[in-house]
Amino acid sequence: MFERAGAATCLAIEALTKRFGGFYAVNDLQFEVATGDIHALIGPNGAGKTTFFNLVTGVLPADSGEIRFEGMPMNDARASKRTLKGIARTFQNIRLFPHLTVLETVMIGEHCRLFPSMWQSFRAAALQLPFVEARQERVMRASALTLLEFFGLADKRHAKASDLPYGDQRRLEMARALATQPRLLLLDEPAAGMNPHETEELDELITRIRDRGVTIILVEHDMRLVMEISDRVTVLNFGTKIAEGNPKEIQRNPAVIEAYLGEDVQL
Amino acid sequence: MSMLSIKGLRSGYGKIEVLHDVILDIAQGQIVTLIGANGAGKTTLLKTISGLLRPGAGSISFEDKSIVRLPPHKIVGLGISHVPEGRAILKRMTVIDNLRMGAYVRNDSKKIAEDIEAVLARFPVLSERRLQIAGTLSGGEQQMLAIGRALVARPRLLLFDEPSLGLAPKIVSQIFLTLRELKNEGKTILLVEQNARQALRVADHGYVLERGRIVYSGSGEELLNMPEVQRTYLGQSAA
Repeated sequence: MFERAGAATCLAIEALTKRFGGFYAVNDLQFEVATGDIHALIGPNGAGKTTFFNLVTGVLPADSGEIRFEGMPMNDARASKRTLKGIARTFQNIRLFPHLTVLETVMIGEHCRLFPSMWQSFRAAALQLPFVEARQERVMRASALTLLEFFGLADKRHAKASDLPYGDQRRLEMARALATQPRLLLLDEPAAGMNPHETEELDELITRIRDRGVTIILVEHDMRLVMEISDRVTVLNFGTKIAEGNPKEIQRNPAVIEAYLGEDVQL
Repeated sequence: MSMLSIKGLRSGYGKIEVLHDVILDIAQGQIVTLIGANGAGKTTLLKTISGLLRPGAGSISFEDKSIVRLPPHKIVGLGISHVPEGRAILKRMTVIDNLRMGAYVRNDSKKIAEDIEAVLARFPVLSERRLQIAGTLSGGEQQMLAIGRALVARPRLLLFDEPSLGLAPKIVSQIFLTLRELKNEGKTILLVEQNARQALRVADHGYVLERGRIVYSGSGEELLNMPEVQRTYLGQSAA
């Protein structure tokens, strides 16, 4: 069991705001994610959850407010820089490189660690002897394979990513994200399109990722999954936080029932 | 009385056969739920029924007429509408134009206008947004629009492909409520869902598709209580 590291804060969000025209997708948002937690972010469609992910990972610039990761301000860092600092994500609509194999897909994730800048990739290509490169390639291959074993995808390593069944594609996205060696992983609807049985397997998988020491923010509509594995739940509506607490508190919260869960939710 | 009857159906993409010898019957006025793992062939079956894919072999008859060789628009004209996975609304068009597109195969403009008004009355949020660009709707509103567009074609049989996908719990409940209402209004429904438990609860009859073949069939309740189905599709918390 991974030890929860007391009050250490992995991600701190202060007064974060993002507008699209006159529409506030994220509005004066404030919250903290504790290191080692599985922290769920739920809310109606259009509440700003994916926009929040885009702000944290640097895909979109924030209009105002602050994002601090392990105490470091992230606002001005480019997306690639944030990956290097230890933030990784998956996508709501799966985004794999369709023509790469499963193994190559994970190696792409590792690449940012081995060649963190253009200069270093250039130097490697220009100066390093072929056998050094070959050795690095071997190291990448081996650690990619270890990750694929963790995700139960090792025997499919030579398959094309696009040929995998949907559930496997979702797992492969997680493997690629983990290959960047993150300390914070953002999962955007990992259970979408999975049946309840497949979702139950996700419980275990996400918990095991956390137990490797990765803090997780989980955006998900499958309430059974959210309530089962989350340490803490934040609820967004219209870009602002309307509730926060542990799963039990959230399920009873009238504002959350009104805005999101509905009366007759079956968990 | 069978409204849609499928026998010995083989279908797929190019040389890849996805459905092998599928048999399925849908009785008039029922909700029939089809469940199965990802890649089992559920979407392929819906696409084959609505004419988007041509079957390699087998028969599909709708109200005792064969529809196997008909193009999609003819099938819509006969009374089968498809609400596709991912909604596939026309994102750059307005809400009202999306609904008008649903009536593309009809030419009774007066009645079309009535049917569009009926859809807007059924989903008041669409009425408020009738001139909004459809791509700016939330996921739940887009799903309502996709259902509304299908209804404007005046179908007797509706094919739903994962209507709950990616939607908040409250919206999912609304969608399932809509399915029940449609049934009460006399529509027949074929429902494909990953949300297997809820989908079997509303179903009069259910089928389980595995690797392109129907492996179980029964009433919704029978399937909900079948250990094999519970293990593979409902998860352990099946109550």
